[in-house]
Amino acid sequence: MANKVVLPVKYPAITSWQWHATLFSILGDDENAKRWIYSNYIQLRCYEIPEYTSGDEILLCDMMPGSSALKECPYLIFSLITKPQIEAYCGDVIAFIVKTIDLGGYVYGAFDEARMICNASVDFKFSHELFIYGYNMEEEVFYVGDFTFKDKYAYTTVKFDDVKRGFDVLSAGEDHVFKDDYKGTRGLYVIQKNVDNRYYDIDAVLIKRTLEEYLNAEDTKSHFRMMRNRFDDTVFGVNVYEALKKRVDKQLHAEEPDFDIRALHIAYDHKVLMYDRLKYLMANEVIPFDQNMLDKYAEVVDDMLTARNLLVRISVTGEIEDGVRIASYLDSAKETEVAVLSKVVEAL
Amino acid sequence: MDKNQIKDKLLEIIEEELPDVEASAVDTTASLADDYGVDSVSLIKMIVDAEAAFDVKFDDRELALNKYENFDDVIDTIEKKLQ
Repeated sequence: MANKVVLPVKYPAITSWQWHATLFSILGDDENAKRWIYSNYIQLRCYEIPEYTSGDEILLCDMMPGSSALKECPYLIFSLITKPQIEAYCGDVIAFIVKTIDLGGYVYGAFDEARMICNASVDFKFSHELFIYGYNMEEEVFYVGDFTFKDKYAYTTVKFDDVKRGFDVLSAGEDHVFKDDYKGTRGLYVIQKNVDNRYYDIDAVLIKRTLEEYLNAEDTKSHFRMMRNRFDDTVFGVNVYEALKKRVDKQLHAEEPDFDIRALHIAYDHKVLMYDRLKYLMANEVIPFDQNMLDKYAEVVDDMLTARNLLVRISVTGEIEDGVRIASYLDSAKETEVAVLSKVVEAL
Repeated sequence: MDKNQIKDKLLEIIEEELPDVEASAVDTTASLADDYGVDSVSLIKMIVDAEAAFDVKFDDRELALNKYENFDDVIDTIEKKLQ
């Protein structure tokens, strides 16, 4: 066992959700992985759901694929390890994580981060995914990527004991990562980078089809009904703009206004990634180079960033009436995006 | 109000919004994000404070972190608004 092992990570281009931040941290700028990344993450979807920590209704907005990408990405090798396996193989979670990292595996799973921050006896639990990519035996810390410890997505260190406590206090039913997909078990993911060979090519057919589904607001999830069919209340593609407008209006005009920016932030990340995709497709001659197209799409990115920032501003000033301008930025982004992406579809 | 006065007033705001930063040690040419950990939320809080302190208004597109490399850029923006 080494004194210190830190697996490679790159600060992720998108940080909206922990699963995206984790995948992009591991795969970073890998040229092979880009072929898969830019062929995916095109469709956007949202639905209302109670937040698992508070029970409050939120608009859960995400790209496709979502959290399942960690399991399904061809440039990652994914293993699911249950808590009984961890204890049987290694005795406790600290030894398991150290051994996993020694073998080149990243660790991902649900931890009670409230208990990790504050070792007090409290009823409140904050189950959140933690991404672990290294350890230092001398300082007894793990290197982690997370939103909780620095108020934004950041790479930092957490004490071994805090990680162990955060893992041990969550029971099977409280592990939201395993809850739906693995029938209420408790455990961790082990993720290994697998980029030496070219397992996936840029898929112009998939890109074109998914862009059409995005523009026509069609149900992309229906392609996966053989595996998942629980939710039929999802809004897709450009219809997400209307859902966002309704949501912002609802949250700002609630008796106690709510300033949750997550739905707007993932929509912004979607535009950032789409802009990068257009540049990548042009650089790889999948579509012809078109500076005007890039400039117009940059306006979409700017509109979405402005909409998100305006909600942050309203959360500081309390000037709820400014919310009407968020709707106008979303309308502007939608109009420009539809025009640009329609041309991309024609070019593909 | 000259540039130095704007800077002094802005440093008070910076100290308030970034508790880990000491105003006297701020290098206004250093990177906001990389050297001072400024993110979108902390920048917008500083802008809202600056609007009140300088009686100016930032438009919605001026709230973006990517518009400012360092605190000097924020000072320049305020100076232009005061002219």
